[in-house]
Amino acid sequence: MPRAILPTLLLAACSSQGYFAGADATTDGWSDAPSSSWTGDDDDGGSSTTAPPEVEDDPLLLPPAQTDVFVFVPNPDRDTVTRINVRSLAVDTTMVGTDPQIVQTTPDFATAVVFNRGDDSVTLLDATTLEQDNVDVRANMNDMVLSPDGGWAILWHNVARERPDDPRVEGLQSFNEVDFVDVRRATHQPLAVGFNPRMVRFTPDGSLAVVVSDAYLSIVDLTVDPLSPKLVELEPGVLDPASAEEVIVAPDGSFAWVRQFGSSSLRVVNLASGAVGQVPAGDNPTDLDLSPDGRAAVAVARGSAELWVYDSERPFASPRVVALPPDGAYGQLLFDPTGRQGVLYTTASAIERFAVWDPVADTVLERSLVKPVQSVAVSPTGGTMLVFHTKSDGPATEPVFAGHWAMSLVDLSDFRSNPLLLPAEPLGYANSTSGHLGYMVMDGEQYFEVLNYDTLLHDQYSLRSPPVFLGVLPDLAPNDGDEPPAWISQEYSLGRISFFDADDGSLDTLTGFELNSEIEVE
Amino acid sequence: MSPLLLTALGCGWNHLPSGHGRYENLPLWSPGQAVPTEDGLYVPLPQAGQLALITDASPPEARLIDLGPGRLDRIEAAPDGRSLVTFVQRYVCTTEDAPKRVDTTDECANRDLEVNTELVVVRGGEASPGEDLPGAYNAVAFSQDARFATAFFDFSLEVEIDGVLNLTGVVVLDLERDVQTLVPVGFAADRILYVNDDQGAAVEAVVLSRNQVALVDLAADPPALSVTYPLSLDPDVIVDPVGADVTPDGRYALISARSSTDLYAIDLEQPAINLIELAGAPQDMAVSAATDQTVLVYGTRPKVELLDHERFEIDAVDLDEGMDHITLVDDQAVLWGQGNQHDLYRLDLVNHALVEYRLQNPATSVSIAPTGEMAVALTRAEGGGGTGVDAIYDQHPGMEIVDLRTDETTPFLLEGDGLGTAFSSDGTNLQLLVLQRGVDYLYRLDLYTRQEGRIELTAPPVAIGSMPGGRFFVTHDAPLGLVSFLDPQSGKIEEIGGFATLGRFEPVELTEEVTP
Repeated sequence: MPRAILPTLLLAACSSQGYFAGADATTDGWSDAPSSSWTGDDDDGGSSTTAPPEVEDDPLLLPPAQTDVFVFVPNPDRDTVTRINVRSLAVDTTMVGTDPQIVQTTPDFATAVVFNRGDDSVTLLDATTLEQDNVDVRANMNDMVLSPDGGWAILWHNVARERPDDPRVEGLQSFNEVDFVDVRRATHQPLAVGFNPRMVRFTPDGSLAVVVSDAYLSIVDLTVDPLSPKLVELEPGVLDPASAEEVIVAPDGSFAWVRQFGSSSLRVVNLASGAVGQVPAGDNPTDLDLSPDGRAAVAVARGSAELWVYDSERPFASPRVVALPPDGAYGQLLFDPTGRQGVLYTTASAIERFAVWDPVADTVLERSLVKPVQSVAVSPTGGTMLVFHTKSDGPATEPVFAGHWAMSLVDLSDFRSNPLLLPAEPLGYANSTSGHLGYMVMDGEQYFEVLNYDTLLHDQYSLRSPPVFLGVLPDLAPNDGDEPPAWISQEYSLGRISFFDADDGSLDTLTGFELNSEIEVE
Repeated sequence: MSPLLLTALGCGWNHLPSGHGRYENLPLWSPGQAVPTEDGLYVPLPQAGQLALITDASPPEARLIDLGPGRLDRIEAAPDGRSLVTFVQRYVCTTEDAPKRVDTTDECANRDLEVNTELVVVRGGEASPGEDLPGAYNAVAFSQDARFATAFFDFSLEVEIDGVLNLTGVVVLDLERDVQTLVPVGFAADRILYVNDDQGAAVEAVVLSRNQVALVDLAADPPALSVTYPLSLDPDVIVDPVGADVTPDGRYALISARSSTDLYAIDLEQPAINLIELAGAPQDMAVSAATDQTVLVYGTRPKVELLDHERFEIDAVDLDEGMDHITLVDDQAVLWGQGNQHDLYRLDLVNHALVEYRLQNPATSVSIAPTGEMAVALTRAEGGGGTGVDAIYDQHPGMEIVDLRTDETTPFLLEGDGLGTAFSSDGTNLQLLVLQRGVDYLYRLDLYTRQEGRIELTAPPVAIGSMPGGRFFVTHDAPLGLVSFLDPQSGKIEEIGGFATLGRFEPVELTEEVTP
């Protein structure tokens, strides 16, 4: 039987915890890669300075579309979504709209929200019964995020996510529109916001959405009906302002912090009044993060080799400035989820090192790596760091890794490490919420790697076809000692997905599950 | 003018005798199609269109079975070993201007003859009332309990096209309640599997057709289609099921497809499909109830795979030569090939240990002794020249006995091509009987003591088989009919011959007479 590769098995995010590197106190919608919601820091990667840009986003972190029991797989070629029960391997498929591209699940696991690119609609699927409501949305949307409480799905056209196979635009096209879908009432409200919306931030309680456009923040109170955006101009009176590159929101919803391309200061927006202030941030700040407890906003000023630490709820109080090693060229910060320490690194320069910052003592300790850094992740418990290295080499690259893909497991308590030579580029990873295990797949390699964060060792399992996505189910009973199952979708014309049980090391594979959509029961 | 010509002119070409003339080229009897049952040996008589029963008695007797008007077309053994299924052609003359009473096919013009096929079950030497088969169905699959029969089109046989045919249905016959139901199951359905309950009663039928599998609920009144499983979502891709079996618990149907490396595991309880990727397109597949796994071999690909039925995981074992047949023996599988392979394997299905045997010549058949201790391979001559023992073996058919306990092999040379084998065992000895083409004796071998013997036959044999009573029957190449019954313990033979002429000159009756 001919095996056509299924070109897209796009699985979008749920709002489950524990999958992400770095913890932002707000739940954000960010996409410049095929993922739709995650809590990591994000960065467009653009800058008007002469220094190369930092790339903070974590494209290797592949978002799942799952509940505590089900994995949802959209089948764009057949206009269906397949739901697989990870425990029983039961498969159900239901018709949705045309060309479903994104599936996300609400935090209460009750609803799967499906964006259908082909007919500009959203299908709201009851995760248990598969009963559905369909909501027509504005045309030409291509990105979606859910609010933290799952009450709203917000869609917009993200220029960074445009694809060659996007439906041809017919008639007018707007780059200023965002559509808010009320998940519970199955209605929608489109709004005009600033030009080129690129991300959506929320306050932790989900009452406020902040749509980030090039030169505006649009603040939308999600508790009122009808919705109405309050536009905040980031640089009033400036005809050609710098575009917003990164935004974080204080956990109490009081302020939004904005880092702009090429700017050496941060904009601080009072979300209640709309007033815009400004605070210095050293020379060429390239990253802005919120500490896991939400109390501190931290900017990495690469140009001046400094950390600028602010009180997130008192932005105009004097910041604390921490000096960084001058030759480290550090431009990125990643907090471990516990907030005990932050990892500093750079993706803009081929430098084989990282540093660890203690936010209490303000000490900075440097460590070497075998190769330069492409991206960094930290396990949910903060014990282990995963470093994905570039294929290109730096001046101090270990010879055995030269010219190869590599990754390193680093224990953040004693900095033991296990650098691993990879046969191919990493495609994605996912972490178990227990903090003991992580999982990784590589592009075109029919292997599934299980990473033990305690021992820094790995086990390898064979897959039947190249992997596409992977994920880990949420651990709803973290004290039972059992690891939740991981799943790996693979290339196969009729659908293939494997489920890994870390407790017994078994790998079960379902192949051809799309056939189940055509089973007719009389 | 000749009186004969006048008679012919008066009859007209359309009224020329049309009965026996068309069947004269058929043999009087079919020695290779005899079916043993507890009633005796049923033997079709093609020229007469009749069915003969030869009793396994002392002495044996032969008589015709009254199947009613018409002609016998084919016979098949029902799986219960007690019944025989016959396809009987019933004739109706549709002429409207018969000058005299017409009650045989001879008296009816060809153009006025209509033929219907009836399914007639013969049990206890008596024929049941026929079941009229709609359409042109030419094959039947019986459930193990012989309660249900499903009529379908066997495209390897002749399919009479008389009108518009619907090739998307099968007819389920409830033989107990005398009800038949047409069930739509998909295009070109040609394989039927039955799923039984714990008491052995058939509860479902799994019907395989192109690109789909249909599950028929036999417990419903009437039997009805319950689930349809697709085998492909692309109309350009044709999935033609070739191998099928059901797991021992009856939960899954395992289906292989022509030229495909996919094995479809169809969940019959919770409708779902899972594909298992195999090493190749399987040549043979066998479900082992003893070890709850399926064994698959792949012809030219030197590998055997074992599929467990719990997790559907594959364990592969490499072979030196690809195999294309599997014979299960308790918790072992004997693998052999019917091509040019010289290897034969014994695979332990528990620990997957493999033992390889090397045959002198390629096998034509492999049979297993009822005790499971021995495998007997009949081999063929490979041809070629030269001298020495290898050359002798190459030039002659043979037989090799493989002791599955000790792994010893004993090769024999045969006088003629091995046609078949039969075994008998009484606990203290294990007898092997070997039939050879063109050779008018049975070779007998005690597999324990290796004591040999010959049982002389009146004529060269055609087939050998076992009667339920313990005797063997041998049919012979004798135009007028000859069957021998052999007591394997005593070696005593009783023969009966000449029965093939029974009913030869009886005219074929119409179902209804036609009166002028």
